Amino acid sequence: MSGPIRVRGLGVIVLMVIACLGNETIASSVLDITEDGWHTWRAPAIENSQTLCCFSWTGSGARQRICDLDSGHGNYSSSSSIARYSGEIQVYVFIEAGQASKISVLSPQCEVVASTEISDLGSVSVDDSIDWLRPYINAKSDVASDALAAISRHSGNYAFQVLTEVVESNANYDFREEAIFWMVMSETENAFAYIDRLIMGE
Amino acid sequence: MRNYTRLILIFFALIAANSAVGQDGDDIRDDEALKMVALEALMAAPSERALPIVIRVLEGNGSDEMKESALFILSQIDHPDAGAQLLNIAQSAGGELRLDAIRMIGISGGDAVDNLAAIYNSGDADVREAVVEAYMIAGNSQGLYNIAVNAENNDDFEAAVEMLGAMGASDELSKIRESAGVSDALINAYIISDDADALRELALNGSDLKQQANAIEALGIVGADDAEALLTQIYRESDSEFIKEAALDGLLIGDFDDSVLQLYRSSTSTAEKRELLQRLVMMDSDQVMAIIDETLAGDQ
Repeated sequence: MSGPIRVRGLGVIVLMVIACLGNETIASSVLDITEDGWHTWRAPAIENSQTLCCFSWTGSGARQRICDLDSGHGNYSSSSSIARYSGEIQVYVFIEAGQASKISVLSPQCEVVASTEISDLGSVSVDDSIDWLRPYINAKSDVASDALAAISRHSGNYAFQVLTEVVESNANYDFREEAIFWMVMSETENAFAYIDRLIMGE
Repeated sequence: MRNYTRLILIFFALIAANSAVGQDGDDIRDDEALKMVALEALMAAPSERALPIVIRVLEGNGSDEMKESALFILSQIDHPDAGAQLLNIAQSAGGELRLDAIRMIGISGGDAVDNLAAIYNSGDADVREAVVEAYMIAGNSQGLYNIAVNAENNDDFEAAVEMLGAMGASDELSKIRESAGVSDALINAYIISDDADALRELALNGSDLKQQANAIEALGIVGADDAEALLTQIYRESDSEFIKEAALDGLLIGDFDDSVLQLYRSSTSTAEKRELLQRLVMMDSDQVMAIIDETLAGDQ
């Protein structure tokens, strides 16, 4: 009689752990963001990557303009006519009730405006930055796509690992597709080797 | 009871097996779909990165859908090797892949379009049809004109001329009319291109009764502003029963029942009235009821 009860009890504990994971608090020791409003940090970027800014598109090409973080249009893009860069990315997050409701990644040189003050958290490591963004890749999050895009712009293997995990095992098919797209957009050796294997079924 | 239990067990086993098969099937579909997503994502990649992968897909054993998608991406890659690869497949591959490659040359619109004429001349009917489509996609009316004036059979001539109609290439169609005369294909091209002016001119030209009749009927299809008045005029003024019949057909096709009713009322011939009434019935016109009312009122 005691055996089955213990198993049932274990099941309850497992369910509780799963429930806690579902409501994971978005915070890390380095990026301990608790206040509502805009926050930003810099993290190492992919080498020689496309400049991510806001552009006005005219007949003669792209013209860089100031990014309005509050406009809510996911308002960044890249242009082949704009010089590439190496260095850092600038991640912007807007926190409401302790959760990110907007995420943008831009090149640090891009001018931005926001309706409220932007709290600058300085430079952080790739791991800390991705660890902060990664929990937002879930079906309940409204900023999952933006988190994926932001992660893909980080240098090093960790971003690639996260994208690979999403492609191979995320329960949300749309995220898997988006991860593939952002992997291609990262233009790294790892990414193209992976895409090649994926397409060829190897 | 044991049998009953066994049945239940078999039932659940079947459900489990079916769901397992369904799961595998979904996985396979997902895998194929993800491959396609990855392939299509390469459109956003630098050409030197995308090209080797796309070529590997085309040379590999992937599905027809994958290869078709790869061909499209190849057509969008701005790299000399991409055009050369596309041309190579269009010239030497077999089956549907070759036909797709030919059409993709039209989409790419690059220098490879210049090679379509040679592919056309050496190809079978399917290849020739694909080249005609490629010229249309590329907006290359000169290529289609060349095919039309050099066509060795009527099917090839019709295909090229009607495609010129689809492109609205009135200059080329005029030149073809000058060199080859009026044909069914040319009138079809005028219909496709909605060229009421050309059809109006042919409808009033009595030098070739058959083509005049075709043009008159075509006016009903195109339905120009003055088509109803013109068809009525032709009907009234023509001495040819053949042309009158064509004008009536045009009025029927254009659904111009008001004019048919006027012709009915102005006619003094019982036979003609019968024919006009038959046309109105064929047109499912409400005017038939008006005629019946008038007839009944006359009887009273």
